[in-house]
Formats: sequence, structure tokens, C-alpha cells
Amino acid sequence: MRPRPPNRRSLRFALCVALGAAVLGLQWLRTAEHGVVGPIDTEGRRSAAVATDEFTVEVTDVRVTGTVTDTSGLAPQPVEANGVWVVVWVRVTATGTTLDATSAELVMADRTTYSPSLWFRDALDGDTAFPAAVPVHGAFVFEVPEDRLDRPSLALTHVGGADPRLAARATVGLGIDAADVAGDRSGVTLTPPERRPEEAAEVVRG
Amino acid sequence: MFQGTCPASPVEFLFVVQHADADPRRSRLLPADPRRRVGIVVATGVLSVVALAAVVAFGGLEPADTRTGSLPPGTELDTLRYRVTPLCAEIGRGESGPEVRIRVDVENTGSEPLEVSHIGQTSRFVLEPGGTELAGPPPSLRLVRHPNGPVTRLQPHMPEAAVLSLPVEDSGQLEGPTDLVMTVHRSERISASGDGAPLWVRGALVAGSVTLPLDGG
Repeated sequence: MRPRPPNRRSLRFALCVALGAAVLGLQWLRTAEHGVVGPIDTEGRRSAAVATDEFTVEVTDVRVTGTVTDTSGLAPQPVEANGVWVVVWVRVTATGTTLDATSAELVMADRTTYSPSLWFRDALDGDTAFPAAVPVHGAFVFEVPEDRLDRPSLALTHVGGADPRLAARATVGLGIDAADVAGDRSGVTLTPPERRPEEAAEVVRG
Repeated sequence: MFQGTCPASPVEFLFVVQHADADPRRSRLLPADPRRRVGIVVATGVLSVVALAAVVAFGGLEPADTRTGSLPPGTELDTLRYRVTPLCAEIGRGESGPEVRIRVDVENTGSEPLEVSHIGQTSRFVLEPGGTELAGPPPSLRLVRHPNGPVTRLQPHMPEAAVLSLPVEDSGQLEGPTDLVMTVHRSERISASGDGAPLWVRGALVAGSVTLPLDGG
């Protein structure tokens, strides 16, 4: 058999390499399943309300403290943190239907996530209901090792409903800096979540 | 090696046909030139060293499951999702009957909250002598610093002194045994369907087995 001219052979070789690279490149472009069905994120900062399709969340205050007191019990006792408590006061307004199940997380800059402490009845948790169009004030309480507290954000996801896929999630940068961490460490006393229908107009106007 | 006496195998037969004039005692695999032979040996050695270095650079080979022997109390067991150090065990009385309480130091070493149920899922508890496995309801966890607070999740990188409470359905199981063997499996991450969040399950490898004297039995 007559050998093929070398330039044609190298052309085929180059074509194979190019196709191999294209396969790898297209694989890299493939979206992970989490990216297809995961929550739809809306990001914002502490200074302004962050609006998703299903709710609006506004961080009204953030405190880093050593003790938290819950007033719901008969004899309120301050609870010390193994690290620090990060108390995040929010105003959440459901804009569509009532939110019956939410998931709150404190997300650090390195994506390490913390879930709220369940020790305080006055704090907001995943079972707090947010009625439609009624702003609710309350606090999420997180316990975090002090050295891990690095540019945290509050991520609030509506996980209720029949299908948790493509849930609405708001991520609010808390803007905590070293001064906040080193500053006033006096204890925080929680108050129960409060519904404030009179503020509904204010939230809608945004 | 081809000895040239009996070309029985097809390979040797082929060799004979194609190189009938070559010295049949000469190896077909290595070149005749001694310098090229040395070159091949050196190149093989260098390649082996490079391959070994590459394995080391990528973390080495996973150690075999050698820690199945029993370890003393206070040994830290690393599941790659959390670390647990069983310290001592005692028989107590819980709300719903007798229970075995295990004092542990535990830390979530991952980057997400760890469900306490995962600790129960990756651990097995066997009473010795007798070999009775406590396979009842899953253990619950309470923190020593706040024993009244419910704990369903451990937060990342937060070492905790805790008590694992293991309900015992048949109190007769606790008559006789003097030791509790806690065997902890490695955690294994699988990708789940639904919202795509990863799921942690019990792996096949054992992180270790600790024998704790059972007090109050």
C-alpha cells in the first residue's frame, strides 16, 4: 500500500487532537445538576432590601456577641457561645404566598455554612411562617467559631411547597468587619418575632 | 526467552520465520547494543520514580483497612466528615427507659452543618461479651455545655464535648456485658438527586473500633 503523504497524516493527527480538546472543553461547559435545579439566587447588601420572586428580606441589624438570652422561658438564662453568637435581625415579607418553610444559613467567604441554633424559642427558624404581605421582624441566631467569622452573608431560601427545586434564595452580605467583632460584646436579649402589617406599604414601595 | 530448540508457541514460530538468520540465543526483547540496554534500564527506573512521585504528589494510596482491631478509650477516629473521640460509657436511665450514654469529643470537619443522624448512621455499638448489637432507635446527642438544648446539627469546625445517648429497648441486654465496642465507619459522599445537594452515607471502610468499659452495668 502506498504511504499517505506526511502532511495529510499530520492533518489527521491535528484534527484528532482538536476534537479531543473540543470534547474536554464541552464537558467543562456542562452545568452541574445543582446549577440546573438549585435555588435561584438574588444577591444584595445589608443596606438595602433584597427582593426575590417570592419574598423580600432586609437585614436591619447584626450583632456579634458572647451571650444570648431568650425571654420565652420562665427563668431566662444567658447562654454562652462556643465561639461567638452572630445575631442577624431581619424583616422578611412574603410577596406571593405564605412562606411556611424556609432555610437560613450563614455563609462565610470560603463557602463554609452554618445553620441557626435551635436553642432559642424567640429566634426565627425554618418553621417560622411568614404570612403573605405582612412584614415579620425577628432574629436568626448563629453560633460560629470566632476565627471562622469571615465576611459572612445571610442566605435565606424558601424551601416549602411541593417542589424544592428552583427555590427563591436571597443572599445578603452582612458587612461585618473586625471592628464589629472586637466591639460591643454585651449580651443580646432576644424578643419574639413580630408581625408588623402597618409596614407593608413601606416594603411594597421599597 | 527463546532457546531455539523447540519453536512451539506462535510467537516463537513467527520469530523464526522472520529472523531465520539471527542468532537464536539472542533476546528479542532487549537490543543487542549494551549501551542501549543500559539506557532502557535507566529509562525504566526514571519512569518508575516519576510515577511513584506522582502518586505521592496526589496524596498517595489509600491505606488499607488496618484499624479494625480494638483501640483504647480516648482514641480519635476520623471519618473524613467528622472526628469523634469516645471517652467512656455508662448505663443510665433516659425518658423512655434504659440507655447507654457515651461521652465523646466530636467535631464536624466539613464545611456544612453535620446532621447528628449521620453520626448514628456511621457508628455501630456492640455489647461485649455477648456480641449483642444495639440496633434500636438512633442515638441522640446533647452537648455538655448546654445539656437541655436540642442538637440536630453540629456546626463546622466547632469541637464539642458531648454525650451520645443510645436507647436500649430490651433492658435484659445490659445484664452481663462489661464493655461497649463502638465501631465508626468512614463517611462517603454521594450526589443526590432533587436539589442536587450532596448526601453523606456510611462508607465500607472502618475508621476504627474503640472498646469502652461500661460503667453502671
